[in-house]
Amino acid sequence: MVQLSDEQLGELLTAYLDGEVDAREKAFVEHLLREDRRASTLFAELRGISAAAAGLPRHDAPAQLADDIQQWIEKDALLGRHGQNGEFRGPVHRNRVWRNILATAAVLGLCSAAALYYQSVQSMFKSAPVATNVRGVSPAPDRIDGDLAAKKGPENDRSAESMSPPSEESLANFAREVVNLADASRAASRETRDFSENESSFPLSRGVELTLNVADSGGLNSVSGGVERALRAVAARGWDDAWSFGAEARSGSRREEAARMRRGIAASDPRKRTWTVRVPVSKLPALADALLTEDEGTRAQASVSAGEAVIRGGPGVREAMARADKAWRRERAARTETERISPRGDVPSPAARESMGGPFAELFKIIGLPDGAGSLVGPPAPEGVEEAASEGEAAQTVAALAPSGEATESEVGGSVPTGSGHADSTAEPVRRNEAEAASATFVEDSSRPAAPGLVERRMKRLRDAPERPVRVEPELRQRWSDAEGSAAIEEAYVTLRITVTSGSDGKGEVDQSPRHPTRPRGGRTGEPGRNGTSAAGR
Amino acid sequence: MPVRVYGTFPLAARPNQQRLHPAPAGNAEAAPATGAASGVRPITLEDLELVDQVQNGRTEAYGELVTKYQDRVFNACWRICGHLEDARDVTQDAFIRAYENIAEFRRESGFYTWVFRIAVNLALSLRRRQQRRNAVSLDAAPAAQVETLVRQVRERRETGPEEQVEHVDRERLVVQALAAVQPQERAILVLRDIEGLDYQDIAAILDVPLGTMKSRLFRARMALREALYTLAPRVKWTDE
Repeated sequence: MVQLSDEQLGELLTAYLDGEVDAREKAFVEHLLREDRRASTLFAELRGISAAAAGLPRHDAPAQLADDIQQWIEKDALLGRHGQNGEFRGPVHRNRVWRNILATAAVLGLCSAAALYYQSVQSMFKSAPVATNVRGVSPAPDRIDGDLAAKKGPENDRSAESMSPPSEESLANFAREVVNLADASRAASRETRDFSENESSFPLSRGVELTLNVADSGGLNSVSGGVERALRAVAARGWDDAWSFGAEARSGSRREEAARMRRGIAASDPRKRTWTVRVPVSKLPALADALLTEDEGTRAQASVSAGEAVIRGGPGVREAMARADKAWRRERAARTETERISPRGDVPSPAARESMGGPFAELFKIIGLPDGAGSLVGPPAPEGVEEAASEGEAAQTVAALAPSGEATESEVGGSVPTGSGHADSTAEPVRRNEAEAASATFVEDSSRPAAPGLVERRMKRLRDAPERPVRVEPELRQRWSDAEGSAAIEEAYVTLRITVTSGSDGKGEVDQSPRHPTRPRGGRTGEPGRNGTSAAGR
Repeated sequence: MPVRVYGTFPLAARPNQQRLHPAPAGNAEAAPATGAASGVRPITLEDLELVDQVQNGRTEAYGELVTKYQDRVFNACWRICGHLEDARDVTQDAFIRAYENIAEFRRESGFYTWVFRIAVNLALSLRRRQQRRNAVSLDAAPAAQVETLVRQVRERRETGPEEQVEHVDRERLVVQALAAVQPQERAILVLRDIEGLDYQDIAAILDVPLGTMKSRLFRARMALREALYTLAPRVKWTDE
């Protein structure tokens, strides 16, 4: 019997499925399918997946497409690009990219010319103060003498009168028009895609805004690296084309930046970093898992002090989030009205958030964000939905975090108040192990090597992780249970905006810490942090 | 509880780290009109006549070729790009590029293979450009595709609403999973499973040897399987 590797077997079965084998291979495969359970199982899967893909509905080309192409060809023929025998005389310059580039270059050229002209006139005025008082329109002089200002007398005054340059106002108007034109050009080129290149213009609808506030720039760098690796880890799972990543780093205002530079603090060390990830809701749990794993890894290194909000959980949270996702989609399917899109920056107050409810509010309860640390923008609240958990519980949740050292899953999970509701983790071991194997690849990112032994520790922790209780309110559990078996038609996306800030509140003072500050040690959540606040007090 | 079957293929089999740094977009210009793989199905007589007419300056003949293949090309582009608008642009560009280069068409492969090759190259190039911009979302893609799914399924008049919902749900999952796999893998899945092209045509379109194509097709199906099980761990996809 020939021993085939998995890859060889798979290729052979694939070819057999598609009828692309010869008689000898066909007989061999049929023998395999009769005798080898592994082969028959894999073949059934391949056939099912192929059939699922083949069963997708088709979409015909738009009715106008053929006409458009024909019109283009006729126009092309009229323009004489074809010779008498139909051969092409040259390529058709219809490349929109080049056209855009040329248009942009032309606009930039206009801008530059305007700026140069404006500058030259300005400098001329500086050197010729007499001329600045001239009003009225008259022909421009043939030659502008630079020594004009130095000369006095009626003759020179007459020469100055004859200069009559355009007024500053008209120049400014002209420059403004040119700038507007450039803006319009840029906007038009951006409109070619429904998603702007600039993520900041993208509305944060149905979004979860998560802010991690760390005490100093060292912690910020460490946590930022962790978040970045987590995002890459999830992207590396093959979902990168279904995602949007946006990242920005800010050091505050220009004045703050200057202050930092004066103090010898690197200007490139931002005090705020933001990532925006848009994911299908169904992928959110896995992202949370990756963030969690990274956070647990970096927390020990960064010694992030109180005031930090952490996505935490494990398989249990993943299950709970998946259920919330189902419930949300069911509600969405039931609602027929168009979802209200909140404009960017329309982040509701905690009170408004209270009235919103909805599954993302439930996610907040699971994530355990204290008030003020995160904000929610989402669809209007369905009737009768209330947020159940109290502030005290949120504080307890944050206080349960153990930032020092390598806290095990059981240690953290054991201190989480569970109440009567424990989300049942029904994820099957095989599947979880596969996911763990995939998630373990991110730490091999060569751009930022992990600490020695960190990979092994994380993998071991993932493998040994026991089922972990999750704080879930009974009524939420009930709602999620009701959602079982529901089917939704529409796909839901959620925007997760992760912001890591340094400083007491992430938006106030200039960080005056040295380049490599002494990181706060200990910093167990619940104890006063560096800035005197604690998670429990928030 | 449905029995979920897993093969012995580890997820790590695919070197997915490199996806974060997509290779520079290749030359998406019209591919040379040659059959890259031996045994490519030759051009049909009907297409041959039309191509002859186009090369002799009868532009109306090209319209017939467009009408003949536009639906297949458009559907493939739609599944690869995920956007209806992108699919329309790519399809139009593909036919126009084919027209521009029709003098170079050497008739060693079918006309549709040639157009498919141009279209797939354009679609993949578009996806790469979008990925490089680092701010690309396929959000509209599944939404648009799901809308179409809903419309089409509503038109199907199946036996009952439950079956309709189940059917739509499975199709939605497949669409999402397809959007989640790599563009190259998606392309090969689309060409084989959705468009039903044979191996030699696919190898010619993707410009890879036949053996490589087989291997890629298998990996693509495994990737689709992985994505499906990630999206819906409890749904059974085996066809028994």
